[in-house]
Amino acid sequence: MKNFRLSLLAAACFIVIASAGCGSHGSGTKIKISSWGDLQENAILVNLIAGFEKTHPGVQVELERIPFNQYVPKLLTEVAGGLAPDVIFVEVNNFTDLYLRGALEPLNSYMKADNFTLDGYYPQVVDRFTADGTTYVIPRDTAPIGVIYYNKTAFDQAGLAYPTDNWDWNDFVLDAKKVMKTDASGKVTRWGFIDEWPIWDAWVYDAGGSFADDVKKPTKWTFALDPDSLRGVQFRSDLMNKYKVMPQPSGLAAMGGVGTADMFVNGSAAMYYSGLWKVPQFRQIKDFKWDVVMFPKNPSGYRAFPTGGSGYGILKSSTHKQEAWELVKYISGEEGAKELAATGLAQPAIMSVSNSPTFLDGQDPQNKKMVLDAMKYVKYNPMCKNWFEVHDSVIGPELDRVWNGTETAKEAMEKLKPLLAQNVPQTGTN
Amino acid sequence: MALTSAERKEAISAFIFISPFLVWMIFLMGGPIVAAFLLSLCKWDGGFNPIQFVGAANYLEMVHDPRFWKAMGNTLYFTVFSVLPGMALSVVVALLMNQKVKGIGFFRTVFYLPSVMGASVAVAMLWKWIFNADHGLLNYLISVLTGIPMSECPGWLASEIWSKPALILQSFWSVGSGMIIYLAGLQGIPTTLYEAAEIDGANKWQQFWTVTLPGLSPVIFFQLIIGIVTSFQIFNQVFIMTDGLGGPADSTLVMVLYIYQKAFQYYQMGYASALSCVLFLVIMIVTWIQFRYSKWVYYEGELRK
Repeated sequence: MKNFRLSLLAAACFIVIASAGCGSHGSGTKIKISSWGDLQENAILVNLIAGFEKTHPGVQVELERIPFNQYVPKLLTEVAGGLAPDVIFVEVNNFTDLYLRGALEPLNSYMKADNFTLDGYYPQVVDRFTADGTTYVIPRDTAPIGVIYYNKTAFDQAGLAYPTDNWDWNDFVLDAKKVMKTDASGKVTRWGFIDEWPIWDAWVYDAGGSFADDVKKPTKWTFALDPDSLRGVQFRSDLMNKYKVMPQPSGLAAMGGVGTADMFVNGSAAMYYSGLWKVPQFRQIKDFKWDVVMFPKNPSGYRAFPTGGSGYGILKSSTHKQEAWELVKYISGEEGAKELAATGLAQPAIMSVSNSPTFLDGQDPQNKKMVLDAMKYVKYNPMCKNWFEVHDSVIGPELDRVWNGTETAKEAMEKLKPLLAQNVPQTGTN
Repeated sequence: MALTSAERKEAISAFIFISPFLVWMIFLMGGPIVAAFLLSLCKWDGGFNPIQFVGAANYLEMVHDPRFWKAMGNTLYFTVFSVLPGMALSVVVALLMNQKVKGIGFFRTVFYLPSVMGASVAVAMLWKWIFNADHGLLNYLISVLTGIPMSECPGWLASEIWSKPALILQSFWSVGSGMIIYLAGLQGIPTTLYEAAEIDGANKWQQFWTVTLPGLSPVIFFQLIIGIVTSFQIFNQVFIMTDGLGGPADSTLVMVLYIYQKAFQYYQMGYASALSCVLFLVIMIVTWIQFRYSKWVYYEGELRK
């Protein structure tokens, strides 16, 4: 009985403390911001928010961190439940999901009132976050997916010159072949090339191919009709099935916890394709030297690859839009950009910061300035609501057969033509 | 018809006893089921835009949706080839574990152990490794036993042909959970029946067919229904082992995974609800058919005409 009373008392205390915790910060305006990202990235935001609260007395900011793959579903649930954040972190692709659903507040009037311009930002990413002349997101960073990390030591061992940003597909295949290693039984111990996830879009873009007729306002899919897209898909398949410099999905699909980045780190892949965000991880490499080089051009000299990037926007449902705007302005300014640059994780969207020694800090990779140039070649995904569905669920499964070598790119494209013809890009807001 | 006071008392206490379940059933199950059905008649992105009534449009769309048919086909394939063999395997293991051998408790534990971990994420990760075409345990075993080099063994999860057999093979991992129920069933068969059969001159085989199987049939029936219902709803293993894609080439796209993709990756809540309603209906019909044709089930004490 005594124990029972004690536990009752404890429970009562807990409730009192918990409710006091809620109540004690009751004064002033409270706004909520949601974000994803690893701890290092999160720490930058936490610091910025602390600075914001200091300079904006009376405004309190609650930060909600959501894992990336649950980000939009969680936002939807919060919106449906009336618990939506005021400020949200978005990237160039989930921006489409939110913008097309009419969830984002236009920022032009706020920018005008404060004389806030985006002149110093990379125009490509600014343009991505603009629709019909209206800006919806203030960019934080840009992330061209055009970075090939290569193992310098492996290149040295193979007696190869280091690749230059000027290289093309032919140079790339030659290097990849020469840098491969097999053991006595013929089993590959070092692959020439591997990508972070199947980034086949890059080869499509690089070949001069496309997915839709217009990125901003797509009306039909061009992918299967475009001979350049076909060429890009076939080349990636050739890397696995003809030149055999890249492992087939069969060797990768079931890798369990081992990501392809680990293959680069442990030396079993000499070239690794991704974006700049792998730099902090690869700086831990002790066994060999490495550097970055730009994604190769196609043999006719054209070059293009996909890109990431992110920024901050305001949800239309927010009831504290002015405070939300103040926060957006504060966290997307130069101070945050510099902190981000210093982590090595990302390329700030503010050009002067990306061009400064804070970003180009002389640490590995030595050829880091390449990503400034890479901005010239970035391509964004078509802005429609069913982009991911078409990419992952219509095109993706058919291309699985191409990667497995059971079908040629041409055969796959023929099968995709009727499927894509009946599946128009959805750009309506509902 | 009026109830006597004793009957009324009994009825009241019965309701009190089942009330927790009733509350759960009506509010936590019934509510969502009704909501899902209503939502299946609407278009909704899950949050930002108002729900829009579209009538039967979602159901009509399904008819022309190749991935719906693919998912249905894959689910049926998995159900047909995993439930019956799995059950047969469970019965065989149960029979073996029903022997009076020293240390039988240990063997029973060993066979049941995998089921304790069930269809968890960790187990799915483990199998992902086992199925790895180039370094996996399974292909290693095959190549050691048959002499076929590992590079020519099946690609399992990476192969369009072998991915479904891989899932089925993986489902036998929890054969132990069926075993434990059959074991209980076996021990519930009165030994007097075996003695009588022996006196009548029945050999072991005849005893199995005429005593063991009929005695076990209610348990088999129960297992069949539960097994089919759960295999129609397979999700965890596929989601983990295929990174949520159902690949390669949609060869492991099962219904619940498709529902998940439509709802939480493509934000088509209405269509996803319609898919779940169809799945619900299919399971209902299959279960009804099983009850309809359940004359083979023998209940002790029941009179047969």
